[in-house]
Amino acid sequence: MVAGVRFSSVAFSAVLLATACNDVDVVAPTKTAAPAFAVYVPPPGEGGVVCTGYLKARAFGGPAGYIDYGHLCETALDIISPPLQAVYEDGHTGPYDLTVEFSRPVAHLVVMPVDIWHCGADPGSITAYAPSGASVTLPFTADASDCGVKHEEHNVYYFGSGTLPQSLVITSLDSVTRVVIRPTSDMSWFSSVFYPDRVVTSEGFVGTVYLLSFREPVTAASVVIFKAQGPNAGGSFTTRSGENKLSLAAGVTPATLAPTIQWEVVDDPDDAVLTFEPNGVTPAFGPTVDASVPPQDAGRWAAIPHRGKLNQKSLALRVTAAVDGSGTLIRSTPAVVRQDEIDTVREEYIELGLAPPGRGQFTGEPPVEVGLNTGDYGVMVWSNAFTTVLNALRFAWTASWQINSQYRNPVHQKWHVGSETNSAHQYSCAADLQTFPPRVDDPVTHERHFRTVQDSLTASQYWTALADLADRQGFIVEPLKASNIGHVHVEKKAC
Amino acid sequence: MLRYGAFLALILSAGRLEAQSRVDSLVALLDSPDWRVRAGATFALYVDRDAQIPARYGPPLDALFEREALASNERPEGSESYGEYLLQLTDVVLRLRDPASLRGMALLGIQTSVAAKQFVAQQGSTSLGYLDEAWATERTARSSVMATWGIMLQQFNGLLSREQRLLVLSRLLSGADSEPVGFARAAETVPLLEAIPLLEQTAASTPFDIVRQRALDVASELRPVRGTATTATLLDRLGDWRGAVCLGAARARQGACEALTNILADASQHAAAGRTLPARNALSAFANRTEAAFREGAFTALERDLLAGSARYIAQRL
Repeated sequence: MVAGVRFSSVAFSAVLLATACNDVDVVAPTKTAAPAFAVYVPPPGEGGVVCTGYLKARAFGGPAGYIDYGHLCETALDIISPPLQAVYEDGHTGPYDLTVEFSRPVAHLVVMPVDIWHCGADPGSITAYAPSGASVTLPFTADASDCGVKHEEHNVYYFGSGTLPQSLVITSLDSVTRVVIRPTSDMSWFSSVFYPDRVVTSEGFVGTVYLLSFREPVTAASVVIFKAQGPNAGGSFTTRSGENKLSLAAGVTPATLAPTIQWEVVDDPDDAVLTFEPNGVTPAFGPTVDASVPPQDAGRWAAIPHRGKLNQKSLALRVTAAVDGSGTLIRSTPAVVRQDEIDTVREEYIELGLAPPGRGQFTGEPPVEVGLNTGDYGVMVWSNAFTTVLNALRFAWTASWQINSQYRNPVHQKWHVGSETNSAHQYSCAADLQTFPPRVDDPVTHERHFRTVQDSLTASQYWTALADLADRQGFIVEPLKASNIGHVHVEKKAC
Repeated sequence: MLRYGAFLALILSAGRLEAQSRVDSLVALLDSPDWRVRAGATFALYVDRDAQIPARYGPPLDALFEREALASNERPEGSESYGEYLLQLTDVVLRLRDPASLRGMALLGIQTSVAAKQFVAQQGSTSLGYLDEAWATERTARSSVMATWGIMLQQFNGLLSREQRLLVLSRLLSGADSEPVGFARAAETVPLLEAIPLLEQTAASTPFDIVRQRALDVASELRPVRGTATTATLLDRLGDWRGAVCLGAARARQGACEALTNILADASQHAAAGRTLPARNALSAFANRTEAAFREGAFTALERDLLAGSARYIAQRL
């Protein structure tokens, strides 16, 4: 025997939501308009209970007893905690799009369907509008894994035909003034329950029910960052322990929100460097916090060309402070904490596993292809001790003199020179001194060679004599066989 | 390489690690078959002024150093800083001052620093064979070998027998022509007053301005010293050079040497007795006999220039 029975799939949830509002709170749309609800949102800090209404049993087409919503005002909304709001939609003549207007912008809006989605139907969607008019449309999703699955208990079974869709969280808008809910497309269907001696088939209706959760907005707040800097001169920093701690401070109006200031420290998107971000700030909230810059990926240097640009090399983080009292997130103007040129060079040492020179050891020196600073930066490590002894060597040497290279930063040493980072050039404690006559470029092969055999012999004697003088003056000299005749490498240990 | 870099970073930056543990870790890396890893560890030890390397690491370090010294003609590909690795390794090994490192130090180390040369020279007679090996096998080390011989004669003369001293003089003389810079260095260091004629000859004949200037400079330094030396001292020194030239002499060379020995003995006796003219005549005879030996092919031009030139200088001072 097959019996037709009507039931409401929303009845069970409506009962759970019943609270203490009354009919006068209901604001119902006109008959001719699409269902819509005006939701009163109290001003900031007021809190309280908000009620709303629904189209009362208007379109379910059956006896009212089968559609037991219980109360016109189904949901009490405690906007402090937990914030809940429900609206109902006509399940018979629909689906209608439900429009919910908020008397004030709300934030952290969550829309949770509490009706049944029928397998195969369109679960619907929601479009949220910000005060600016910007909108976002998000589709509801539903888990179809139970569809057609047989459920059996005590020899009674039925086949799964629907489930609850997933909640939607409006994250891409800071605040929302209006939402339009497009309900599921299939609002009634037949389903059967198989008893040992009969099959009961009934038609189910869906009156779409949504819980709206939101928080009241903060309206008149402002946040200003007045400090965002590293510990080094000029607010610079490195990833070296002790030099990697950023100090962040902000002021907020109203001041009572200061303890709730939250911080966002992210890679600065305006440069060509991917800077690994700090793992949060300490403390997690507040007007004054610290953030530690983590170790970076040394592999990033391999792709930097000779010289390059600072915005390809300097670590930089964009800092934003925000308050989120109980509503709209209000952000400060971002501040950027960026390494200066000296710390950018020092970062190379740190990331390549070398002891970094102190900041005071650097001096401004334009980079050149041949000369003191053959590195990638406009600064170089300066060693008074080495300069003194190198000058002494120069004055004792009576022949031609040319410093090919003294300072090379580690990345230049490793990737551009094609060497290892075991060089004293990185500390300006070494110099490559040109031998004369120099090799010349072959215009055809582009190889460098001596013009004549005599030139080669002369260069050889030059090498030997200069190396000998350097040795006598206490320099350490690179052996000729491991070097080449084109230059004499001299260095001082720990200069 | 990043793993290696990260490892070094750990070692360098972790002040928490005990210093000795850090040294142990770095020395362990020197066993790596990859020279770049060895170079990284060596550099870390090199720049750490306070790193104390325990003596127990002497044998493996010495062995590594000697291997590098013997293999260093085979410069690895893409090894711009390989030379720096060698000089840094020299410095690290030198800290141990282990005589077992002598071979590597003679073959390689002396090319990098005065300290290495002094260490080798300080080993006295033990190092002579290794310096000969370096001279024979490391063409580019010859100037440094000569400088080391010079330091040996100047600072550690007492560690050599007379015959060994003469041997060193002989070696220096034989290389004076091919290694004029190294010879000038040795002449300046010891000092070798009798080298002045050779330096003058070098200055007159070399096509290289730098070598000429160096020879002239050293000769200029030595002349005042020679001018203040006593005749007896100069005669003794000439006797040493004669002995050096005549080491192992045979046939015509032996005959010339015997003659020169006798003539110089006469000159010394006359000079000691204040008989100026006979002494001067004997020295002239010494010079003439030297010239004759050169003409006979018994002496080289260098030997002639040194012996005859020195004899004539002493004669004209009498």
